[in-house]
Amino acid sequence: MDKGGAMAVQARSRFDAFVKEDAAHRRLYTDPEIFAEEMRRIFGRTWVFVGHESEIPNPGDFKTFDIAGQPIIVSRHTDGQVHVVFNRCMHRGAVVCEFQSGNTSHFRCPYHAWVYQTNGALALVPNRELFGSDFDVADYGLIPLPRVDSYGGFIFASLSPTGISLDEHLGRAKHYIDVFLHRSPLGKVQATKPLKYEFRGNWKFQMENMSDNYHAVYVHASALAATRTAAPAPNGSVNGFVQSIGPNEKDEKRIERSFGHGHGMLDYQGSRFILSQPERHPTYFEALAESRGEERARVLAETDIHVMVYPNLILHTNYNHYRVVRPLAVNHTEINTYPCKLVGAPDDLNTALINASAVHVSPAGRIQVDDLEVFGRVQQGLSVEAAEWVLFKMHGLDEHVNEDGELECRFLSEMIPRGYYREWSRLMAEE
Amino acid sequence: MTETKQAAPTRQIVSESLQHEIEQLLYHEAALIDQRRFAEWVELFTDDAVYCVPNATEDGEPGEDGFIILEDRAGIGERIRRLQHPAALTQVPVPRTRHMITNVAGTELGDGTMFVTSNQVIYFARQGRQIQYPGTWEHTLEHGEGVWRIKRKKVFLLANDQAMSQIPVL
Repeated sequence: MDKGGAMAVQARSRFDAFVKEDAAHRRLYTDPEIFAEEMRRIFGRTWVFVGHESEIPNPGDFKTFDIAGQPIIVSRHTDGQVHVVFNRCMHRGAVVCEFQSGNTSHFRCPYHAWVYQTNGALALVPNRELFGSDFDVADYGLIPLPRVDSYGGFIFASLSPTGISLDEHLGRAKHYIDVFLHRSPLGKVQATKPLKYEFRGNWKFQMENMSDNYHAVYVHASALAATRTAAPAPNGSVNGFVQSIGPNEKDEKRIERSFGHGHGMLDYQGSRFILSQPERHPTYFEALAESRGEERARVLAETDIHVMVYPNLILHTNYNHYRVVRPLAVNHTEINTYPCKLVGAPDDLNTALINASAVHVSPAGRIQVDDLEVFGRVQQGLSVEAAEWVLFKMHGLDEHVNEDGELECRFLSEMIPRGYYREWSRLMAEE
Repeated sequence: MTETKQAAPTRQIVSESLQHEIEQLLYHEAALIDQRRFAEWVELFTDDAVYCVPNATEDGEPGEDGFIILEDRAGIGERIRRLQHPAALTQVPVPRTRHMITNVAGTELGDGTMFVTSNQVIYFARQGRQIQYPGTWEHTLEHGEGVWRIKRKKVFLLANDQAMSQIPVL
């Protein structure tokens, strides 16, 4: 059995020297040349998350984003089809869309007014007759990304025309995407506008931190102390709460899993305060039980997991958001967090979920800001050349391959980052 | 809790003494924040106050949009308790901030309440860099027991649709 990808045969490469089974070299976080290679070999090759369909629900809706610094447009054409194209006029190269999101009938280049449809097709060229008789607009549509596919509305694109399918890439991650969606009585989430923040550190810190249970009691001590005295806020209250992330008797039930192509998940198993708890939201629970049955509905309503889809997507069920990691430079990263509604859930629960994201992960929130602070300090420390390695040596209890083929252990470990770096090596080695 | 939105009333020119009063209140509030006298700052808010910083747009809709900040008075209390905790990493070393306040315009809403807008910039210095946070501040003020208190405070940060980090106390 493929031990969570651990046993994958790896080609020798010049990047092998930078990753050990339980450590990553400091240059992975500090060397601009390695960053450029990551953009070429990881973000330029694997499936990269670019947006959720609920961000562009209607014909003409679009969002702009980028993969490895290359601007793209994710749009829904008049026929309802989603298109992912490069945001680059085929004439002289200007970006044809300057908005983060919106609705439009077309994209019009600001320079010489070439007009493209929302499927990327070139519709109009001023003074076209002067381009010669062999000039065919069909040859000059906005270039589509080589591969685009989606699962559960999560749209992924790849800059590489070849490689494994999205289905194969996601593997077990599909199961956890299903869980994220099935918490809605209608099996759908609706994204709201993203909370955006940036930090002076490498993109991999966010992926590592999201799979790290070790830091929370220390980094978030102030948030825990500030709210520990306060009772959980009533339904729909604006304050939200800071959940119990401190050590408690349920900690040992926490499960970590590493699987497939660098992906991983944490399952808090009821050890933290759960916003969508059935007793607090009986109307939600009834609606969920109607579509999923009472037993499954309880499991879903009480699910508290982080899912890390390598390299750039994170799902958080408790506050019901997804986060997108956007590398800007070797030492500069942006995170976009999309609070989501559970479609079909009552307004009071959705309000509480959206507000909880504000309390925890906004750039003026109480939790994520302290993580960002630490990322900046790690980035500074890694300038020290005398210490070469970043350690992921912690092993959890009962590490084994479970019946789903996932590498699994109980709290605490650094198993999931070890999975990231196996995938990092695999992707970096391919020529 | 008070509504997050407040329709901008028709422009008025308030008396010099009232203009002086509201300007002095804004200066006082800014000084309390910059001097980190947070316990006194919270006391400026009414019990039913709302403090909000919309995300991505000028006006957010609670329950529809995530907010950068959306708090009632208890939430503001938790915010300052966290900021003053010795383990609050973003506060150690302590950030230095200065609010600059301009374009103060007030309108009387009746019943002893006022709507005040101002343009503000916060200069924030920490960890070898200086960052500016400009925007438009809205205060809905309520007069009682001889003092003005803040019933609603909304801050529209110009860059609220861009990535930011460590937004200071606004």
